[in-house]
Amino acid sequence: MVYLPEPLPEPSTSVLKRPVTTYSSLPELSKPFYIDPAQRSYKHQYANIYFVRLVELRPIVEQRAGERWSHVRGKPPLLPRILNLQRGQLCYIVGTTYMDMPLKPNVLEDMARDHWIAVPAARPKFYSAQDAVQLEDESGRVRLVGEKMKRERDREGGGLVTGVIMAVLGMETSSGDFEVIDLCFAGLPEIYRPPSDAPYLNGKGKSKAKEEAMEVDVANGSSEKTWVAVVSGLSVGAQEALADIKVQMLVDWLRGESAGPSDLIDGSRIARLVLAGNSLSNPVKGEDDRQIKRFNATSKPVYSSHPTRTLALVLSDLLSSSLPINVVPGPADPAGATLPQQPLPKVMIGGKREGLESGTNPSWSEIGGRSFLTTGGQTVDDIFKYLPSSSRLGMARRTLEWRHIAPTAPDTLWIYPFPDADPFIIQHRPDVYILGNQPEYETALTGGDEDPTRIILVPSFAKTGVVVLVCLETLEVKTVGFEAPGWKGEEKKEEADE
Amino acid sequence: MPLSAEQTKTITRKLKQWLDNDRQIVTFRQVSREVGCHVDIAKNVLLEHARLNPSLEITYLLSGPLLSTSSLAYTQLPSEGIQLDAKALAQLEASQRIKIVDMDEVSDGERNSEDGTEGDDELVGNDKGGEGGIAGNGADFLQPEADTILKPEETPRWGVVMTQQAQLETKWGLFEPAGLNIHIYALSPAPITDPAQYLVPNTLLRQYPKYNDVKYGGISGDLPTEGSGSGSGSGSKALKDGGMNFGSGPVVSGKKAEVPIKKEVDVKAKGKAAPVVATKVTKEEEVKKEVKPAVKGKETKEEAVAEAPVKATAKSKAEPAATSKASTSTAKKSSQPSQSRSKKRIITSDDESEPGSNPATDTAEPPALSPPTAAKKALTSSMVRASDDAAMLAMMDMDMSEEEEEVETVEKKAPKAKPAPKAKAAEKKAGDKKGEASGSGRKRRVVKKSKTEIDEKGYMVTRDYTSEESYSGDSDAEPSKSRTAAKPRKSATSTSSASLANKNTSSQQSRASSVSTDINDEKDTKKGGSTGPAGSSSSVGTVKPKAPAPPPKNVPGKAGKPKGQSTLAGFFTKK
Repeated sequence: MVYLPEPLPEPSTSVLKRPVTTYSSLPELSKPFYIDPAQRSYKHQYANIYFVRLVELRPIVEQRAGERWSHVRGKPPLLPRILNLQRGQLCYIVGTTYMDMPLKPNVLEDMARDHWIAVPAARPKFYSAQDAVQLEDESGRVRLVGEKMKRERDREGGGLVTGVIMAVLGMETSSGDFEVIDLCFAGLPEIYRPPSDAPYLNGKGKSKAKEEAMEVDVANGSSEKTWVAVVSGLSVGAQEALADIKVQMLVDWLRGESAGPSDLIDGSRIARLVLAGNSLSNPVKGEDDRQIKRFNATSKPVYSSHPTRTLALVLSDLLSSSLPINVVPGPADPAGATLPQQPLPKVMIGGKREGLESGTNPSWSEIGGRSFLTTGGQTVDDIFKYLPSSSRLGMARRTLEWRHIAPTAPDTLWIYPFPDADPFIIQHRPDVYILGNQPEYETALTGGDEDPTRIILVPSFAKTGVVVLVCLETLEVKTVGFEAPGWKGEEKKEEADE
Repeated sequence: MPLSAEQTKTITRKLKQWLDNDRQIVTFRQVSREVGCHVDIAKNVLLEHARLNPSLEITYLLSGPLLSTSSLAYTQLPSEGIQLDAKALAQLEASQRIKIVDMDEVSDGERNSEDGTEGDDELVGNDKGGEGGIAGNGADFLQPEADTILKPEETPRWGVVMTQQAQLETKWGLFEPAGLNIHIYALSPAPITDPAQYLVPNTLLRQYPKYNDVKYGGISGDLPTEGSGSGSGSGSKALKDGGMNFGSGPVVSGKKAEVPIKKEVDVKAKGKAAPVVATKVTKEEEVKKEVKPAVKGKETKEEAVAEAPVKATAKSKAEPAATSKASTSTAKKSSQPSQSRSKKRIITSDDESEPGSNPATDTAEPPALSPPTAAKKALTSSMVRASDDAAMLAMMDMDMSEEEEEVETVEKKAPKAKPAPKAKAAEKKAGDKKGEASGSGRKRRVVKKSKTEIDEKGYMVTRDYTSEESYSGDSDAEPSKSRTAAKPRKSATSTSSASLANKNTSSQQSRASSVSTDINDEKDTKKGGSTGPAGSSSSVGTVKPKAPAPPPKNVPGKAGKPKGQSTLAGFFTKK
């Protein structure tokens, strides 16, 4: 029996209008991520980055550690240098962590090796029980041991990675190790407020944001919520028909053409789309050399094998529905292998159209009074390898707590050799912290009730079909999932999998 | 507004044709664009049609709040690579101790003897200092950091699911019954097995002028920056690829785009194999008169005259273009500048007939068109711009590979310097070497060179420039060799055009062969006596390995076959 849905009512003649929000690329925060092509140089040593990181974060960590340990019996002093350690003296030191991990790939070891076997499959994690944590500063390095370190490692959402600036309280043991009683990081920074809004800095930022949003709503004649859609991993050009159909469904939905009246109303409240990485997909080795056999012979030439052109079409479809778009590159995008990835050329993805913003990865932006920090997800992916836990949400939060969004760079994460800066240090917390290309969708609020930060892990859209919507007014989140019919004959298998 | 009787009739006929004759999928978006109505009306049209023809397969679109327990299917992407099994060795986490194997241990006898002691050393970890430390006594006064454990929030989920009849029931169960919407997404003559089929209508959709217009439904608004109206106008200007027009784009461009589209529809309607060019042209003219009377018609007539040869050459060009991926970029480069001015358009269209490589055709071409028609279509005035644009893109692609290889070429040339650029220059234009004949001993000649440098913006830029240089008579021998080595490549293109032309009309053949004659003449002037087919081919055979330019590495396989033919073609023309 064929099911026939009810006919739709006559469409209303009024055209739904999107809310208009303020937008800024927050140049004062974004600027460090831009690398001037004329000045670009790869001659520098990475040591500078560690040095700058220590110099910049040390005062913050020292101050916080001083507060935290001020009530400890015996008033432990701060030793300015690790080299000054005295055996048996309770004190605290500040330095950069270094994880001595036997499983971590080491290029020097590989070079020095005499005998070779086939390289085993890359491990998802370097972590092992033999890992040793060391703390170093300009003067020297000491191994951190103790029950606290063990608990820190095993704790849910805990763990340490290379490159974090932290203070440790404890004393040197007879074997020359440092017995740790407590750890202290830089802590969550203040939430970001635009510098011009000086009066709002003392805790009133939220009401300010609300006011702004209200203004927007009043202008639109409704008092509904305004949403920002976040999509990661469109993977245009993945040569997977299902992924392409989902992208098409997403476009239809965002344009308000598909599905019912409620979709339309929801869609019309979306003020901006953020593409958090992997808008394009990596070429498949061996596959992409062949001509696409996507369609039968009669309808072959319609399909573009230029992923950038397909993406440009998708973006132009959305832009023509007055949906402004922010594009942030991710690991699969042709924007370089090193962080910060530079913006995708606008010409490549749809020309210089109004409303299309191409940013760096990571990049800051301000949408409707809320600050967004969007990354392609490489930072957390790399941290994930160091830690025994699998809670990526915790790791994302950790990066805020460390005040450094990519501590494992330049150790295991490739970055540009900045000669005199470390742009990944964050002085401020964003309202919304987006991490693209994560395996699962997850979200949580952190940083207290007053000015929370919304952490969102966005999964690959091509794979999961999940779009995340963030409310600008309340920071609440909901998702929209898309599913397309698969190949006939595959369905049985899929069901079996479920 | 509901559809008028006229519109209903048109769309019913159209649906019949799409579904019954073409046996293709029809989506609501397609219907709405065809009729020019709101998408909701289009859905009702499909619904009505499905009611009258129960044999048709319906694809539904379900949307609504998802149950918290339901999960949507994942798509495995090929680029993701193999997912490691959860029990794979690599997943082994260090809850158990891992023995780190030193790869050099086995061979190194001395180290082997120390094995025992070293092994102990490796077992140091954080765990070691655990017992009997000072950790226990001090720990209780330190509060753990608040808010450290983050629990993922449960958030409301909305689902949009496309499904066919067979799975409708199952997918229905994913949603909360209260808020579920079900709509018709598409009709198809038979159940769809390959999901890629759904993509076809969407790509076809882009042919419609202003296919993103507000009247089709959907959400509009103002972009946050000022002057959004002019913004979208400039947008459509920036992306001039024929069928692509944006919501509020200027009316003029919309009309322009209408012409090729109507034509395409018509051509398609007539059926895929409309062999006689003349009838096609008249049909086109009719359509064009409907849309925009006199001017366009004239153009088509002109094109009709030009069409026949163009078709042949364009088609033949497609072959070198296809092989060009394998052959080096220098070969490509040399073949391109050698085209005369009048053929410029054809060059652009040669990229076009390479399937898929050309976005303009992607957006503006119906699927049924064969390469020659595509090339021909590129010649209609409104499409010329588009094809130029597309050619630009294709050039961008080429530049990429060229740049890479060119750097290499320059490096390779550096030691030998003179002969290779000379060969290039000779390829580019025969006129370049006018100074050559000035006398014995030192000679002067114009040489085209390319230089790669870093510009003030920090980008690597390769520039071609000409310069005069003097050379001694001794080096003459080598350049001439390389010149001949380079030539077969060029003649290869002409041959394929000639051989293909043979299949077409005789006029085309004569044209194509005249091209090859030119080349042969050129060859004659350069290389005194060797005019015959055997002579040139043999010289090629001996010289090629020695030729300094990099292409020969790749050439033999690809250019091998055409070479014999080229001389054959030359042989015919000599007669």
